[in-house]
Amino acid sequence: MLDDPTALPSSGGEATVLGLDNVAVTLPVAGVGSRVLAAVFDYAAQAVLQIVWVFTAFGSMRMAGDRPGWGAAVYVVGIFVIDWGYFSGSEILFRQQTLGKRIVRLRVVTREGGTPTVGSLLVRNLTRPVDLLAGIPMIALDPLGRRLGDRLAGTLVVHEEKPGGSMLRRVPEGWTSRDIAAVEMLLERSSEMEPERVERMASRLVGVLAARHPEFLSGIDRGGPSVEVLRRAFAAGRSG
Amino acid sequence: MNYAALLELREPAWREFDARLLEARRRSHRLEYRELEDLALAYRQILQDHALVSSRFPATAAAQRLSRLVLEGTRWLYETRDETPHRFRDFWTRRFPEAFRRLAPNLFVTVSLFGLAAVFGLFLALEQTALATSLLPRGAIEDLERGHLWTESLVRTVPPSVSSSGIATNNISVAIVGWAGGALAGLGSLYIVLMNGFLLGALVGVTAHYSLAPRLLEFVAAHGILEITLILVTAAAGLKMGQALVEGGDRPRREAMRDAARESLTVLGGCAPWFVPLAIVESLVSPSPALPFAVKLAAGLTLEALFLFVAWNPFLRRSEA
Repeated sequence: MLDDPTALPSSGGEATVLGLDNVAVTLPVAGVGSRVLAAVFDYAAQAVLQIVWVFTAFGSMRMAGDRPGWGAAVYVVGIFVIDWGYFSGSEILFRQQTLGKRIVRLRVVTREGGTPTVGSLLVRNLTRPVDLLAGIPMIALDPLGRRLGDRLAGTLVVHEEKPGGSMLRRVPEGWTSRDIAAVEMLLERSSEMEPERVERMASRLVGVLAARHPEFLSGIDRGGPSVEVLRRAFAAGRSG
Repeated sequence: MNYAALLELREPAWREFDARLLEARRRSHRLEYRELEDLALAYRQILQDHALVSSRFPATAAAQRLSRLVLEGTRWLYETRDETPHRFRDFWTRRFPEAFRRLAPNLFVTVSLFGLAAVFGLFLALEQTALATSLLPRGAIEDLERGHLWTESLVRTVPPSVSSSGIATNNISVAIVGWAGGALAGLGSLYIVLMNGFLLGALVGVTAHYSLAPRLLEFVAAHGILEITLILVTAAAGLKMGQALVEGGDRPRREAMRDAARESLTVLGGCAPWFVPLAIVESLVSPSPALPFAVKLAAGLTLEALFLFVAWNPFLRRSEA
Protein backbone atom coordinates (compact mmCIF):
# COMPACT_ATOMS: atom_id res chain seq x y z
CA MET A 1 0.00 0.00 0.00
CA LEU A 2 2.77 2.44 0.85
CA ASP A 3 5.42 1.50 -1.73
CA ASP A 4 7.56 4.33 -2.99
CA PRO A 5 8.76 3.69 -6.53
CA THR A 6 11.28 6.54 -6.57
CA ALA A 7 13.25 5.27 -3.56
CA LEU A 8 16.23 3.42 -5.01
CA PRO A 9 17.77 0.35 -3.39
CA SER A 10 19.47 1.30 -0.16
CA SER A 11 22.26 -0.16 1.89
CA GLY A 12 22.92 0.15 5.61
CA GLY A 13 21.59 3.44 6.99
CA GLU A 14 21.59 5.16 3.65
CA ALA A 15 18.90 5.66 1.06
CA THR A 16 19.35 6.92 -2.43
CA VAL A 17 16.57 9.12 -3.72
CA LEU A 18 16.16 11.01 -6.94
CA GLY A 19 16.74 14.66 -6.16
CA LEU A 20 14.97 17.56 -7.84
CA ASP A 21 17.58 17.52 -10.64
CA ASN A 22 16.91 13.82 -11.21
CA VAL A 23 20.37 13.19 -9.84
CA ALA A 24 20.71 10.34 -7.36
CA VAL A 25 21.36 11.80 -3.90
CA THR A 26 22.48 9.54 -1.07
CA LEU A 27 20.77 10.47 2.17
CA PRO A 28 22.05 9.11 5.48
CA VAL A 29 18.58 8.19 6.74
CA ALA A 30 18.19 7.99 10.51
CA GLY A 31 17.03 4.62 11.83
CA VAL A 32 14.81 3.68 14.76
CA GLY A 33 17.63 3.83 17.35
CA SER A 34 18.73 7.40 16.72
CA ARG A 35 15.14 8.60 16.23
CA VAL A 36 14.03 7.10 19.54
CA LEU A 37 17.11 8.50 21.30
CA ALA A 38 16.35 11.98 19.96
CA ALA A 39 12.73 11.60 21.04
CA VAL A 40 13.81 10.60 24.57
CA PHE A 41 15.86 13.83 24.84
CA ASP A 42 12.94 15.83 23.44
CA TYR A 43 10.34 14.40 25.79
CA ALA A 44 12.73 15.02 28.70
CA ALA A 45 13.18 18.64 27.53
CA GLN A 46 9.41 18.99 27.19
CA ALA A 47 8.94 17.68 30.74
CA VAL A 48 11.55 20.16 32.06
CA LEU A 49 9.78 23.02 30.25
CA GLN A 50 6.48 21.98 31.75
CA ILE A 51 7.94 21.81 35.27
CA VAL A 52 9.51 25.26 34.82
CA TRP A 53 6.16 26.52 33.54
CA VAL A 54 4.29 25.08 36.55
CA PHE A 55 6.60 26.94 38.95
CA THR A 56 6.42 30.16 36.90
CA ALA A 57 2.63 30.05 36.68
CA PHE A 58 2.14 29.25 40.37
CA GLY A 59 4.61 31.99 41.27
CA SER A 60 2.60 34.46 39.19
CA MET A 61 -0.63 33.22 40.80
CA ARG A 62 0.75 34.04 44.25
CA MET A 63 1.81 37.46 43.02
CA ALA A 64 -1.61 38.05 41.42
CA GLY A 65 -3.12 38.01 44.91
CA ASP A 66 -6.91 38.33 44.70
CA ARG A 67 -7.07 37.50 40.99
CA PRO A 68 -5.40 34.07 40.85
CA GLY A 69 -7.76 32.90 38.07
CA TRP A 70 -5.67 34.62 35.43
CA GLY A 71 -2.49 32.89 36.60
CA ALA A 72 -4.25 29.54 36.31
CA ALA A 73 -5.51 30.46 32.85
CA VAL A 74 -1.99 31.37 31.72
CA TYR A 75 -0.76 28.08 33.18
CA VAL A 76 -3.36 26.08 31.19
CA VAL A 77 -2.50 27.88 27.93
CA GLY A 78 1.24 27.48 28.53
CA ILE A 79 0.96 23.73 29.09
CA PHE A 80 -1.09 23.47 25.89
CA VAL A 81 1.52 25.41 23.90
CA ILE A 82 4.38 23.26 25.25
CA ASP A 83 2.39 20.09 24.54
CA TRP A 84 1.48 20.86 20.95
CA GLY A 85 4.06 23.47 20.01
CA TYR A 86 7.39 22.12 21.27
CA PHE A 87 8.22 19.91 18.29
CA SER A 88 6.72 22.09 15.53
CA GLY A 89 8.05 25.30 17.05
CA SER A 90 11.58 23.94 17.50
CA GLU A 91 11.77 22.57 13.96
CA ILE A 92 10.40 25.78 12.45
CA LEU A 93 12.60 28.13 14.49
CA PHE A 94 15.85 26.13 14.77
CA ARG A 95 16.50 25.00 11.21
CA GLN A 96 14.54 21.74 11.19
CA GLN A 97 15.98 20.52 14.48
CA THR A 98 14.58 19.97 17.93
CA LEU A 99 16.92 19.83 20.92
CA GLY A 100 16.97 16.02 20.77
CA LYS A 101 17.75 16.02 17.06
CA ARG A 102 20.51 18.55 17.63
CA ILE A 103 22.12 16.35 20.30
CA VAL A 104 21.88 13.21 18.15
CA ARG A 105 22.80 15.23 15.03
CA LEU A 106 19.64 14.62 13.05
CA ARG A 107 17.73 16.98 10.79
CA VAL A 108 14.41 16.99 8.94
CA VAL A 109 14.66 17.39 5.17
CA THR A 110 12.25 16.97 2.28
CA ARG A 111 12.17 13.68 0.43
CA GLU A 112 14.52 15.24 -2.12
CA GLY A 113 16.92 16.48 0.54
CA GLY A 114 15.70 20.10 0.50
CA THR A 115 14.38 22.32 3.31
CA PRO A 116 10.75 21.53 4.23
CA THR A 117 8.02 24.18 4.35
CA VAL A 118 6.47 25.39 7.59
CA GLY A 119 3.28 23.55 6.58
CA SER A 120 5.17 20.26 6.19
CA LEU A 121 6.78 20.66 9.61
CA LEU A 122 3.37 21.34 11.16
CA VAL A 123 1.82 18.31 9.47
CA ARG A 124 4.59 15.93 10.59
CA ASN A 125 4.38 17.13 14.18
CA LEU A 126 0.64 17.55 14.66
CA THR A 127 0.15 13.94 13.53
CA ARG A 128 2.58 12.82 16.26
CA PRO A 129 -0.22 11.40 18.53
CA VAL A 130 -1.05 8.92 15.78
CA ASP A 131 2.61 8.04 15.35
CA LEU A 132 2.89 7.23 19.04
CA LEU A 133 0.83 4.15 18.12
CA ALA A 134 2.40 3.12 14.84
CA GLY A 135 5.50 5.26 14.34
CA ILE A 136 8.31 2.94 15.47
CA PRO A 137 7.32 -0.11 13.38
CA MET A 138 6.77 2.18 10.39
CA ILE A 139 10.27 3.68 10.74
CA ALA A 140 11.75 0.20 11.10
CA LEU A 141 9.96 -1.22 8.06
CA ASP A 142 10.34 1.71 5.67
CA PRO A 143 13.59 1.89 3.63
CA LEU A 144 13.47 5.68 4.05
CA GLY A 145 12.72 5.46 7.79
CA ARG A 146 9.49 7.44 7.59
CA ARG A 147 6.69 7.44 10.12
CA LEU A 148 3.15 8.33 9.08
CA GLY A 149 3.69 12.06 9.71
CA ASP A 150 6.75 12.02 7.45
CA ARG A 151 4.79 10.36 4.67
CA LEU A 152 2.01 12.94 4.92
CA ALA A 153 4.46 15.84 5.06
CA GLY A 154 6.86 14.43 2.44
CA THR A 155 9.80 14.60 4.82
CA LEU A 156 12.70 12.41 5.98
CA VAL A 157 14.94 12.53 9.03
CA VAL A 158 18.62 12.28 8.12
CA HIS A 159 21.90 12.20 10.00
CA GLU A 160 23.88 15.40 9.77
CA GLU A 161 27.04 14.55 7.88
CA LYS A 162 30.30 14.95 9.76
CA PRO A 163 32.70 17.52 8.29
CA GLY A 164 34.79 14.67 6.83
CA GLY A 165 38.21 13.64 8.09
CA SER A 166 41.61 14.45 6.69
CA MET A 167 42.17 13.20 3.16
CA LEU A 168 45.35 11.43 2.02
CA ARG A 169 47.50 13.65 -0.21
CA ARG A 170 49.69 10.77 -1.41
CA VAL A 171 48.59 7.23 -2.13
CA PRO A 172 50.84 4.27 -2.97
CA GLU A 173 50.44 2.73 -6.42
CA GLY A 174 47.71 0.08 -6.61
CA TRP A 175 45.88 0.98 -3.40
CA THR A 176 42.12 0.45 -3.43
CA SER A 177 39.52 2.75 -1.91
CA ARG A 178 39.23 0.31 1.04
CA ASP A 179 42.95 0.74 1.83
CA ILE A 180 42.63 4.53 1.56
CA ALA A 181 39.51 4.61 3.76
CA ALA A 182 41.20 2.39 6.40
CA VAL A 183 44.25 4.68 6.70
CA GLU A 184 42.11 7.84 6.70
CA MET A 185 39.98 6.39 9.46
CA LEU A 186 43.02 5.38 11.54
CA LEU A 187 44.56 8.87 11.25
CA GLU A 188 41.21 10.51 11.98
CA ARG A 189 40.37 8.40 15.01
CA SER A 190 43.86 7.95 16.45
CA SER A 191 43.28 10.61 19.13
CA GLU A 192 40.15 8.77 20.38
CA MET A 193 41.79 5.29 20.49
CA GLU A 194 44.09 3.69 23.03
CA PRO A 195 47.66 4.90 22.24
CA GLU A 196 49.16 1.37 22.39
CA ARG A 197 46.57 0.06 19.95
CA VAL A 198 47.16 2.99 17.57
CA GLU A 199 50.91 2.48 17.74
CA ARG A 200 50.58 -1.26 17.07
CA MET A 201 48.34 -0.70 14.02
CA ALA A 202 50.42 2.19 12.69
CA SER A 203 53.75 0.37 13.05
CA ARG A 204 52.31 -2.63 11.22
CA LEU A 205 51.21 -0.30 8.42
CA VAL A 206 54.61 1.37 8.26
CA GLY A 207 56.16 -2.12 8.04
CA VAL A 208 53.88 -3.10 5.14
CA LEU A 209 54.63 0.17 3.34
CA ALA A 210 58.39 -0.27 3.85
CA ALA A 211 58.21 -3.82 2.48
CA ARG A 212 55.90 -3.28 -0.50
CA HIS A 213 56.34 0.41 -1.38
CA PRO A 214 59.82 1.39 -0.15
CA GLU A 215 59.90 4.40 -2.51
CA PHE A 216 56.78 5.77 -0.77
CA LEU A 217 58.64 6.23 2.49
CA SER A 218 61.87 7.52 1.00
CA GLY A 219 62.74 10.98 2.25
CA ILE A 220 60.22 10.70 5.12
CA ASP A 221 61.52 11.24 8.66
CA ARG A 222 60.82 7.91 10.38
CA GLY A 223 61.52 9.09 13.91
CA GLY A 224 58.86 9.32 16.64
CA PRO A 225 55.53 7.47 16.95
CA SER A 226 54.51 5.40 13.92
CA VAL A 227 51.21 7.24 13.55
CA GLU A 228 53.17 10.48 13.05
CA VAL A 229 55.34 8.75 10.45
CA LEU A 230 52.16 7.75 8.61
CA ARG A 231 50.78 11.27 8.88
CA ARG A 232 53.97 12.71 7.35
CA ALA A 233 54.14 10.04 4.63
CA PHE A 234 50.55 10.47 3.45
CA ALA A 235 50.60 14.25 3.66
CA ALA A 236 53.86 15.04 1.93
CA GLY A 237 54.17 16.17 -1.68
CA ARG A 238 52.34 14.47 -4.53
CA SER A 239 51.36 10.93 -5.32
CA GLY A 240 53.86 8.84 -7.23
CA MET B 1 42.77 8.99 -12.14
CA ASN B 2 44.14 8.16 -8.72
CA TYR B 3 42.84 9.48 -5.43
CA ALA B 4 45.58 12.00 -4.69
CA ALA B 5 45.51 13.43 -8.23
CA LEU B 6 41.73 13.80 -8.02
CA LEU B 7 42.04 15.68 -4.74
CA GLU B 8 44.66 18.00 -6.15
CA LEU B 9 42.48 18.75 -9.14
CA ARG B 10 39.05 19.07 -7.54
CA GLU B 11 39.50 19.87 -3.85
CA PRO B 12 39.90 23.63 -4.39
CA ALA B 13 36.44 23.63 -6.02
CA TRP B 14 34.96 21.78 -3.05
CA ARG B 15 36.55 24.23 -0.64
CA GLU B 16 35.23 27.15 -2.67
CA PHE B 17 31.70 25.69 -2.77
CA ASP B 18 31.80 25.19 1.00
CA ALA B 19 32.84 28.83 1.52
CA ARG B 20 30.22 30.13 -0.93
CA LEU B 21 27.50 28.12 0.74
CA LEU B 22 28.48 29.47 4.14
CA GLU B 23 28.47 33.01 2.81
CA ALA B 24 25.13 32.50 1.05
CA ARG B 25 23.60 31.17 4.27
CA ARG B 26 24.90 34.19 6.18
CA ARG B 27 23.30 36.73 3.86
CA SER B 28 20.59 34.74 2.10
CA HIS B 29 18.24 37.74 1.79
CA ARG B 30 20.86 39.97 0.18
CA LEU B 31 22.12 37.45 -2.36
CA GLU B 32 22.27 38.69 -5.95
CA TYR B 33 20.90 36.66 -8.81
CA ARG B 34 24.37 36.20 -10.31
CA GLU B 35 25.74 34.80 -7.04
CA LEU B 36 22.86 32.38 -6.76
CA GLU B 37 23.34 31.24 -10.35
CA ASP B 38 27.06 30.65 -9.75
CA LEU B 39 26.25 28.69 -6.62
CA ALA B 40 23.74 26.52 -8.48
CA LEU B 41 26.34 25.84 -11.20
CA ALA B 42 28.97 24.91 -8.61
CA TYR B 43 26.36 22.66 -6.93
CA ARG B 44 25.93 20.69 -10.16
CA GLN B 45 29.69 20.21 -10.37
CA ILE B 46 29.68 18.97 -6.79
CA LEU B 47 26.91 16.51 -7.69
CA GLN B 48 29.06 15.17 -10.53
CA ASP B 49 32.12 14.84 -8.28
CA HIS B 50 29.95 13.14 -5.66
CA ALA B 51 28.73 10.59 -8.21
CA LEU B 52 32.30 9.91 -9.41
CA VAL B 53 33.93 9.69 -5.97
CA SER B 54 31.18 7.61 -4.39
CA SER B 55 31.54 5.00 -7.14
CA ARG B 56 35.37 5.06 -7.53
CA PHE B 57 36.44 5.81 -3.94
CA PRO B 58 33.51 4.86 -1.68
CA ALA B 59 33.79 5.29 2.10
CA THR B 60 36.85 7.55 1.82
CA ALA B 61 37.09 10.96 3.51
CA ALA B 62 36.62 12.60 0.10
CA ALA B 63 33.37 10.67 -0.45
CA GLN B 64 32.15 11.72 3.02
CA ARG B 65 33.03 15.33 2.42
CA LEU B 66 31.24 15.42 -0.93
CA SER B 67 28.23 13.70 0.57
CA ARG B 68 28.03 16.45 3.20
CA LEU B 69 28.42 19.18 0.56
CA VAL B 70 25.68 17.64 -1.59
CA LEU B 71 23.33 17.39 1.38
CA GLU B 72 23.96 20.93 2.55
CA GLY B 73 23.78 22.31 -0.98
CA THR B 74 20.51 20.48 -1.68
CA ARG B 75 19.02 21.60 1.60
CA TRP B 76 19.93 25.22 1.05
CA LEU B 77 19.22 25.53 -2.67
CA TYR B 78 15.94 23.62 -2.56
CA GLU B 79 14.32 25.54 0.21
CA THR B 80 10.66 25.27 -0.75
CA ARG B 81 8.47 27.93 0.74
CA ASP B 82 4.78 27.86 1.48
CA GLU B 83 2.76 29.50 -1.25
CA THR B 84 1.81 32.57 0.78
CA PRO B 85 3.02 32.02 4.31
CA HIS B 86 2.54 35.50 5.66
CA ARG B 87 -0.56 36.69 3.87
CA PHE B 88 -3.14 36.66 6.59
CA ARG B 89 -5.86 38.07 4.37
CA ASP B 90 -5.17 35.63 1.55
CA PHE B 91 -5.52 32.74 3.97
CA TRP B 92 -8.96 33.78 5.24
CA THR B 93 -10.40 35.03 1.93
CA ARG B 94 -9.05 32.42 -0.51
CA ARG B 95 -7.09 29.46 0.81
CA PHE B 96 -9.31 28.49 3.72
CA PRO B 97 -12.63 28.90 1.82
CA GLU B 98 -11.24 26.97 -1.17
CA ALA B 99 -10.10 24.12 1.05
CA PHE B 100 -13.41 24.19 2.97
CA ARG B 101 -15.47 24.00 -0.24
CA ARG B 102 -13.47 21.05 -1.51
CA LEU B 103 -14.25 19.31 1.76
CA ALA B 104 -18.03 19.21 1.12
CA PRO B 105 -18.31 15.43 0.35
CA ASN B 106 -16.31 14.50 3.47
CA LEU B 107 -18.35 16.95 5.53
CA PHE B 108 -21.52 15.27 4.32
CA VAL B 109 -20.14 11.95 5.59
CA THR B 110 -19.16 13.29 9.02
CA VAL B 111 -22.46 15.15 9.51
CA SER B 112 -24.47 12.06 8.52
CA LEU B 113 -22.50 9.74 10.79
CA PHE B 114 -22.71 12.23 13.65
CA GLY B 115 -26.49 12.43 13.21
CA LEU B 116 -26.86 8.65 13.14
CA ALA B 117 -24.69 8.22 16.24
CA ALA B 118 -26.65 10.95 18.08
CA VAL B 119 -29.99 9.30 17.26
CA PHE B 120 -28.59 5.93 18.38
CA GLY B 121 -27.30 7.46 21.63
CA LEU B 122 -30.66 9.15 22.25
CA PHE B 123 -32.66 5.97 21.73
CA LEU B 124 -30.26 3.95 23.83
CA ALA B 125 -30.54 6.46 26.67
CA LEU B 126 -34.33 6.48 26.47
CA GLU B 127 -34.65 2.70 26.26
CA GLN B 128 -31.74 1.64 28.50
CA THR B 129 -31.38 4.60 30.86
CA ALA B 130 -29.26 2.69 33.39
CA LEU B 131 -26.72 1.82 30.71
CA ALA B 132 -26.55 5.40 29.42
CA THR B 133 -26.34 6.76 32.97
CA SER B 134 -23.19 4.70 33.53
CA LEU B 135 -21.47 6.99 31.01
CA LEU B 136 -21.66 9.88 33.50
CA PRO B 137 -19.55 10.18 36.67
CA ARG B 138 -21.23 9.56 40.03
CA GLY B 139 -21.20 13.27 40.98
CA ALA B 140 -23.00 14.22 37.79
CA ILE B 141 -25.76 11.67 38.46
CA GLU B 142 -26.17 13.03 42.00
CA ASP B 143 -26.52 16.54 40.53
CA LEU B 144 -29.17 15.30 38.10
CA GLU B 145 -31.07 13.56 40.91
CA ARG B 146 -31.09 16.88 42.83
CA GLY B 147 -32.49 18.60 39.72
CA HIS B 148 -29.28 20.31 38.61
CA LEU B 149 -27.04 19.93 35.58
CA TRP B 150 -23.45 18.94 36.39
CA THR B 151 -22.31 21.94 34.33
CA GLU B 152 -23.73 24.33 36.93
CA SER B 153 -21.42 23.19 39.72
CA LEU B 154 -18.51 23.31 37.31
CA VAL B 155 -18.95 26.99 36.49
CA ARG B 156 -19.72 27.90 40.10
CA THR B 157 -16.42 26.54 41.38
CA VAL B 158 -14.03 27.54 38.59
CA PRO B 159 -13.32 31.17 37.58
CA PRO B 160 -14.40 31.98 33.98
CA SER B 161 -10.79 32.76 32.94
CA VAL B 162 -9.71 29.25 33.96
CA SER B 163 -12.73 27.46 32.54
CA SER B 164 -12.55 29.29 29.19
CA SER B 165 -8.81 28.62 28.74
CA GLY B 166 -9.34 24.99 29.77
CA ILE B 167 -12.29 24.58 27.42
CA ALA B 168 -10.49 26.23 24.49
CA THR B 169 -7.28 24.20 24.85
CA ASN B 170 -9.25 20.97 25.38
CA ASN B 171 -11.43 21.56 22.32
CA ILE B 172 -8.45 22.47 20.14
CA SER B 173 -6.71 19.28 21.33
CA VAL B 174 -9.80 17.21 20.45
CA ALA B 175 -9.94 18.87 17.02
CA ILE B 176 -6.23 18.19 16.37
CA VAL B 177 -6.54 14.57 17.52
CA GLY B 178 -9.66 14.14 15.36
CA TRP B 179 -7.78 15.62 12.40
CA ALA B 180 -4.59 13.66 13.01
CA GLY B 181 -6.59 10.48 13.58
CA GLY B 182 -7.61 10.74 9.94
CA ALA B 183 -4.08 9.68 9.07
CA LEU B 184 -4.99 6.18 10.35
CA ALA B 185 -6.98 5.54 7.16
CA GLY B 186 -9.68 7.86 8.53
CA LEU B 187 -10.41 5.65 11.55
CA GLY B 188 -9.39 8.23 14.19
CA SER B 189 -11.61 10.92 12.66
CA LEU B 190 -14.55 8.54 12.41
CA TYR B 191 -14.09 7.56 16.05
CA ILE B 192 -14.21 11.21 17.18
CA VAL B 193 -17.34 11.88 15.07
CA LEU B 194 -19.21 8.77 16.20
CA MET B 195 -18.21 9.16 19.85
CA ASN B 196 -19.24 12.83 20.01
CA GLY B 197 -22.54 12.11 18.27
CA PHE B 198 -23.30 9.16 20.53
CA LEU B 199 -22.41 11.08 23.70
CA LEU B 200 -24.54 14.09 22.75
CA GLY B 201 -27.54 11.87 22.00
CA ALA B 202 -27.03 9.83 25.16
CA LEU B 203 -26.67 12.97 27.34
CA VAL B 204 -29.87 14.47 25.93
CA GLY B 205 -31.60 11.14 26.63
CA VAL B 206 -30.31 10.89 30.19
CA THR B 207 -31.21 14.50 31.01
CA ALA B 208 -34.63 13.90 29.44
CA HIS B 209 -35.08 11.02 31.90
CA TYR B 210 -34.56 13.51 34.75
CA SER B 211 -36.74 16.13 32.95
CA LEU B 212 -33.67 18.35 32.50
CA ALA B 213 -33.22 18.09 28.72
CA PRO B 214 -34.49 21.65 28.09
CA ARG B 215 -31.89 22.93 30.60
CA LEU B 216 -29.12 21.02 28.78
CA LEU B 217 -30.25 22.33 25.41
CA GLU B 218 -30.33 25.83 26.85
CA PHE B 219 -26.80 25.34 28.17
CA VAL B 220 -25.41 24.18 24.81
CA ALA B 221 -27.44 26.56 22.62
CA ALA B 222 -24.86 29.37 22.65
CA HIS B 223 -21.70 27.34 22.02
CA GLY B 224 -22.78 23.82 21.04
CA ILE B 225 -23.76 24.49 17.43
CA LEU B 226 -20.40 25.92 16.39
CA GLU B 227 -18.44 23.54 18.62
CA ILE B 228 -19.99 20.52 16.91
CA THR B 229 -19.53 22.14 13.50
CA LEU B 230 -15.82 22.71 14.14
CA ILE B 231 -15.30 19.15 15.36
CA LEU B 232 -17.09 17.80 12.29
CA VAL B 233 -15.16 20.05 9.87
CA THR B 234 -11.75 19.15 11.33
CA ALA B 235 -12.69 15.46 11.36
CA ALA B 236 -13.77 15.77 7.70
CA ALA B 237 -10.35 17.28 6.97
CA GLY B 238 -8.71 14.33 8.73
CA LEU B 239 -10.87 11.97 6.71
CA LYS B 240 -9.47 13.54 3.56
CA MET B 241 -5.95 12.52 4.63
CA GLY B 242 -7.14 8.99 5.32
CA GLN B 243 -8.86 8.88 1.95
CA ALA B 244 -5.62 9.83 0.16
CA LEU B 245 -3.77 7.17 2.14
CA VAL B 246 -6.18 4.41 1.11
CA GLU B 247 -6.89 5.53 -2.43
CA GLY B 248 -4.61 8.01 -4.16
CA GLY B 249 -6.78 8.39 -7.27
CA ASP B 250 -5.07 9.11 -10.60
CA ARG B 251 -1.97 10.54 -8.98
CA PRO B 252 0.84 8.74 -7.14
CA ARG B 253 -0.24 8.11 -3.55
CA ARG B 254 2.80 10.03 -2.29
CA GLU B 255 1.58 13.24 -4.01
CA ALA B 256 -2.07 12.65 -3.12
CA MET B 257 -1.17 12.22 0.58
CA ARG B 258 1.02 15.30 0.64
CA ASP B 259 -1.64 17.49 -1.01
CA ALA B 260 -4.41 16.13 1.21
CA ALA B 261 -2.31 16.77 4.33
CA ARG B 262 -1.52 20.32 3.23
CA GLU B 263 -5.12 21.14 2.40
CA SER B 264 -6.50 19.57 5.54
CA LEU B 265 -3.95 21.51 7.59
CA THR B 266 -5.35 24.70 6.04
CA VAL B 267 -8.82 23.68 7.22
CA LEU B 268 -7.50 22.91 10.70
CA GLY B 269 -5.76 26.31 10.76
CA GLY B 270 -9.02 27.98 9.73
CA CYS B 271 -11.02 26.21 12.44
CA ALA B 272 -8.67 26.32 15.45
CA PRO B 273 -8.92 30.08 16.21
CA TRP B 274 -12.72 29.82 16.51
CA PHE B 275 -12.36 27.71 19.61
CA VAL B 276 -11.11 30.75 21.55
CA PRO B 277 -14.25 32.96 21.29
CA LEU B 278 -16.30 29.79 21.58
CA ALA B 279 -14.69 28.95 24.94
CA ILE B 280 -15.38 32.47 26.23
CA VAL B 281 -19.04 32.07 25.24
CA GLU B 282 -19.14 28.62 26.85
CA SER B 283 -17.82 29.85 30.16
CA LEU B 284 -19.64 33.23 30.31
CA VAL B 285 -22.80 33.11 28.19
CA SER B 286 -23.88 29.44 28.29
CA PRO B 287 -24.10 29.02 32.09
CA SER B 288 -25.52 32.50 32.74
CA PRO B 289 -28.96 32.23 34.41
CA ALA B 290 -29.60 35.90 33.62
CA LEU B 291 -29.72 35.32 29.86
CA PRO B 292 -32.89 33.81 28.37
CA PHE B 293 -32.78 30.78 26.04
CA ALA B 294 -33.65 32.94 23.01
CA VAL B 295 -30.59 35.14 23.53
CA LYS B 296 -28.32 32.12 23.92
CA LEU B 297 -29.74 30.49 20.80
CA ALA B 298 -29.36 33.74 18.87
CA ALA B 299 -25.72 33.96 20.01
CA GLY B 300 -25.11 30.36 18.92
CA LEU B 301 -26.73 30.85 15.52
CA THR B 302 -24.85 34.12 14.98
CA LEU B 303 -21.51 32.44 15.74
CA GLU B 304 -22.38 29.57 13.42
CA ALA B 305 -23.45 31.92 10.61
CA LEU B 306 -20.26 33.95 11.05
CA PHE B 307 -18.08 30.85 10.78
CA LEU B 308 -19.93 29.51 7.74
CA PHE B 309 -19.72 32.93 6.09
CA VAL B 310 -15.93 33.05 6.57
CA ALA B 311 -15.45 29.39 5.65
CA TRP B 312 -17.64 29.47 2.53
CA ASN B 313 -16.83 33.06 1.53
CA PRO B 314 -19.66 33.83 -0.92
CA PHE B 315 -17.50 36.48 -2.61
CA LEU B 316 -14.75 34.02 -3.51
CA ARG B 317 -15.70 33.38 -7.14
CA ARG B 318 -16.58 37.00 -7.83
CA SER B 319 -13.32 38.35 -6.45
CA GLU B 320 -11.32 35.78 -8.44
CA ALA B 321 -13.08 36.70 -11.67
